[in-house]
Amino acid sequence: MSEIFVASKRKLGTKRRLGFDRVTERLGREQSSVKSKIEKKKEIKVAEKCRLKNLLVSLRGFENPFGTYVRSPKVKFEAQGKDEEIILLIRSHWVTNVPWMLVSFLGIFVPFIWPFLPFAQFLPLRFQTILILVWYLLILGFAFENFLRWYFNVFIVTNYRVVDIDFYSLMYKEVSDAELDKIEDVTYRTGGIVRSFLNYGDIYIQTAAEKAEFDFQGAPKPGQVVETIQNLLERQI
Amino acid sequence: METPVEKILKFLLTISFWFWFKLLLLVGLSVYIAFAMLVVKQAKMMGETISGGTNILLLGLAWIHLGAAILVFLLALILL
Repeated sequence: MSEIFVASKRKLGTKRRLGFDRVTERLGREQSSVKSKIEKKKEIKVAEKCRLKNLLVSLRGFENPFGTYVRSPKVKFEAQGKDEEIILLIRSHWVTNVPWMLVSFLGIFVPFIWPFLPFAQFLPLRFQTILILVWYLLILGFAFENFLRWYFNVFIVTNYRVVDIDFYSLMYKEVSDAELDKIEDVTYRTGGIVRSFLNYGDIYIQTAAEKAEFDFQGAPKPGQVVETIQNLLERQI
Repeated sequence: METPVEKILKFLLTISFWFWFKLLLLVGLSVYIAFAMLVVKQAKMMGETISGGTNILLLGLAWIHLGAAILVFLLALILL
C-alpha cells in the first residue's frame, strides 16, 4: 500500500514539476517579450534622439543669408587672404531698418487715398494710372536701395584683421582694415530702452593703423563682438 | 511780320498742358532709368566686394527694377 502511495506521490510530484515548468516557461516567455518590447521602445527612443541630433546639426549648419550676427559665414570679401578665415560678420541690427521699411509700407497705401484728393479729379485716367505706376516704382527703388546699403555695409572680423566695408552713396564705397596686432582699444556703447531690450549698440575700435578709429553703428550683440575681438587679441599675445 | 522767336513762342503756347506733363514724366522716367542702371552697377560692385549666395538674387532684383522702369517708361510713351 505504501508503495502505491509513494508512487502516486511521485506522480503528483512530477505533475507539479511539469506544471511549474510550464508556468516558469510561460513567465520566461512573457518576460522575454516584455524585455524585447522595452528594448524596442529604447531603440525607437535612441533613433528619435539620433534624428533630433542630426536635425540640430543640420540646423547649426544652416546660415541665415540675411543674418545680422553671423559666425563663420560662407562669404568671401574683396582682398581676402588665402589662409584668412572670417570669424564674424555683422550688419546693423534689423531694427535700424524700421524707418525706411515703415516709409515704404505706408507708401504702398498712398494710391488708395489718391481718388479722395481734390486735384486727382482733374487728371485724366491714363495719367492717373501712369502716376500710380511711377509711385510704386519709386517705392521699389527706395526700398531696394536702402536694403542694398544695409546688406552690404558690414563689419568683418577675421583671424588676421578687422575689416569695415561702407557704402555711402550709389557708387562710393570705403573699405578700411586694421590688423589685429594694431588694435589698441575696443569699446562698445549701448543704452536706452530699445537698444538695451534688443541688445544692439555702437562699437568703437582704436587702432595704430592708418585709420585711427573704426566705428560700427547699430551692431547686434556688441558685448559678444567685443569679447570675440578681445579673445583674438589675447591669442595674438 | 513775325520774328522766328515769336513763331516759336506761339507754337509752344498752342501745345496743350498735357503734352508738357507727358514730356515732364518721360524726362523724369528717363532719369529714373539711369538711376536703375546705376543700381544694377552698384549691386554688381557690392557683390564683388562681398561675395555670397544671395548676390545673384540681389542682382536679379536690380535687373527686375531696371526692367520695371523701362516698362513704365514705354507705357507712359504709349498710353499718354
